[in-house]
Amino acid sequence: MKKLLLILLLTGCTKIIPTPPPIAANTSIFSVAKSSVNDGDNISFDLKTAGTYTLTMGDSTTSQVLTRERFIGKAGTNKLKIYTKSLSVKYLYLILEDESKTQIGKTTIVIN
Amino acid sequence: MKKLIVAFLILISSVAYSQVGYLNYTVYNIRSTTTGAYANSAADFVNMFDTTKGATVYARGVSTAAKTLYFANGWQPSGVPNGGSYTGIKVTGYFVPKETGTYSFGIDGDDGVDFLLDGTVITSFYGPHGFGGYRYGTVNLVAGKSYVFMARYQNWGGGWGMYLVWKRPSQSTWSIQADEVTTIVSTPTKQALANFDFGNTLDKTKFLASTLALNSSGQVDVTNALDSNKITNGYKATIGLNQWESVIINPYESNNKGHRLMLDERMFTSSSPKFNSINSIKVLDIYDGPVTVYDTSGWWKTYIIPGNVADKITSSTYQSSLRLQDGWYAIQAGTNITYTATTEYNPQSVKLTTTNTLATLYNSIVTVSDVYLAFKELANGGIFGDQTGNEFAYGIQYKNADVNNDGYFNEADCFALLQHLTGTKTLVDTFKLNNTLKLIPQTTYNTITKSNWNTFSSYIGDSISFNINTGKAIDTFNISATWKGDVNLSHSATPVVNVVASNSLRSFSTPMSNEINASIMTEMIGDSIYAYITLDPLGQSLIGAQFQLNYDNSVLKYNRVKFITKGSPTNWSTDNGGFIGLGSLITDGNSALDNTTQYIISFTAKQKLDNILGLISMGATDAVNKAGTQLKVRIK
Repeated sequence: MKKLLLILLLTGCTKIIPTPPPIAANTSIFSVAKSSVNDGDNISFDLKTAGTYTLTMGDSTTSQVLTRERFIGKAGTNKLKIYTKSLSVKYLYLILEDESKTQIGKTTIVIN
Repeated sequence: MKKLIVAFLILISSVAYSQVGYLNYTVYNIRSTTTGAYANSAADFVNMFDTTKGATVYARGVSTAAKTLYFANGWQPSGVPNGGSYTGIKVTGYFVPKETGTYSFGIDGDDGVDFLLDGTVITSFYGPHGFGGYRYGTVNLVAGKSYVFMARYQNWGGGWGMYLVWKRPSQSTWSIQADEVTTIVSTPTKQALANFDFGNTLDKTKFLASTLALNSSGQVDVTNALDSNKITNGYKATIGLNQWESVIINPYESNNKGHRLMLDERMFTSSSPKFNSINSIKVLDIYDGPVTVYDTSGWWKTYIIPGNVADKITSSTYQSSLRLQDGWYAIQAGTNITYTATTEYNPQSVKLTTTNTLATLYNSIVTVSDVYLAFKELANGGIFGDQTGNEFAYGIQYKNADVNNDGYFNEADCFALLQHLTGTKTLVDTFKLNNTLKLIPQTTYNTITKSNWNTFSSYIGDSISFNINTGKAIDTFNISATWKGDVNLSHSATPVVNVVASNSLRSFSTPMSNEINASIMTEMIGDSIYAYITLDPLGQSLIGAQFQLNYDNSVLKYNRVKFITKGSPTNWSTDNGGFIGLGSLITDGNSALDNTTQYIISFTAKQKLDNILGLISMGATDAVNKAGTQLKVRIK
């Protein structure tokens, strides 16, 4: 009984901070609102057509762009490896645009 | 259950033994005193309660402030002799004000009464009389400081009693406020607060003062960092009365800004403190405070009482023991002198540390806009440096621009700033707070002018010293922080008062008041990674731009920067390991950076890469226009 009370007390005093789920390898990153990533993780997303696309990462707090990567996408599932060492902020937005700057996907990522 | 009872008893006992709100009392039978029926002065009270002159102690004890300071025809704490006739009562303790400022005390009595703090009569109602209305007196007190408290009353016959009340500086009515009196010698616990002013740009929470974190406003309670040990710093001499004249107080002397007070050498013995160790003197009700040694070589050991105490001398209640002679007063003190050691806190200091990576932080502090402003100021000084109408608005800017600390702001400093900007040679060999930061007391900071800046010390360092021997319970220290090379004060305190005198002064531009756009795009071509940075001045006459481009150096190897710029700017790029510092500065006064400006930074992959994201990102940025205004760079 004492142990139960102790457990209840400790549980009651612990603040639980929700963390976004880690991304699953085959889940499109733009299908969830928020993901947590580690340096070297792969992210994936689907494209309907092949072509030139850009991925823009920016500071969620200030909206300032940190980097914009231009790449050749293929139709179907695309995978990219994300590197986080050069990123100076923890909470970022990620936007996928096509060549005409039409937004295809947007999500939030949290650097672990 | 037993533990609960014990805890309850401890709580009760701690309350019962609390001495706040209580005062000591002594009841005297003065029927046989040889000193007279009524106290007509403070000195009369001393004599009347002197047990060598007929008075006897009837009762002693401790009671509440309410019972000891407010009574009429009855005395609750104990019995009284003679049914209240031929009775005297002395109430003592300590007064610890809750507020700083002017306190007002009121006293009434039947018969004589008086009230003293630290031996000085604050208010009195001497002589034979019934209750006749309050007599008021005021005194300036400091919150938290302990003052020796004494109220005296005497009655020869008939009705009897004493009322003593007071009000704080903020109050409008008089009352007994028990939380300001105590029987315990109260040494207030010192508390110290520090306010570090870094301006508005820096995140103050990333700084610590002696391991105590600053809050977002730069404030920190440094009480736990204080050295609470006290050291003896001299002696206080308390002078009383005796048979022969041994003390002389000269008239006020303007050249000494005080009175010379002379003590007969016979007042000192071989066991007395040394003459030069006397730092404080209390002489009757005339003076109680610090003194400075004037001359102790002759028969008369001479000290300076600061200020003019002529009024205190003429209003002293010890006139019968004073003799006026040719403007000076002699006091019958004989050898009635006692010494008590005085102590003070050691000098205090706190040291700042930061959780920032200082090299990165410092590169965002000393930027292209600082360098340009320094060059502009130098150019405006004219070929002989004798022209004004300058770009600097505050004296501290000259001090920060004098990066070689030689006391002159000149081309050598501008060159060193440019070298730092371009990465040719940094302003410091290693990035430490103690070679980049300047902590200056705010009052000093605000007095640094264009004409005197080179007379102030360099202030370079991560520590700030202060003195807590102020007599206050809480000391607050306002510290202005600034940085070597922070010419535009973007990460520094802004002086409260503009102290560049006699200049045709330009208004100081507020940093970040304007913007330009820039963009970044990266792409992988073969084994190479390219980053393209372009500018859009948005109509600004842009003469300087600076970027910090972060990259993952475990994956990429930096190659070079290709500059596409018009005119002949100074372009620079420096590989700092994890980031590239790059930019342009135009100093010819004619051209500007336009929207054709582009920087192409190339890297080579150290390993096979395919479909990557995040290897390169934008860090700190800065830009400056021709007017010297620092511009915010918005990355689109």
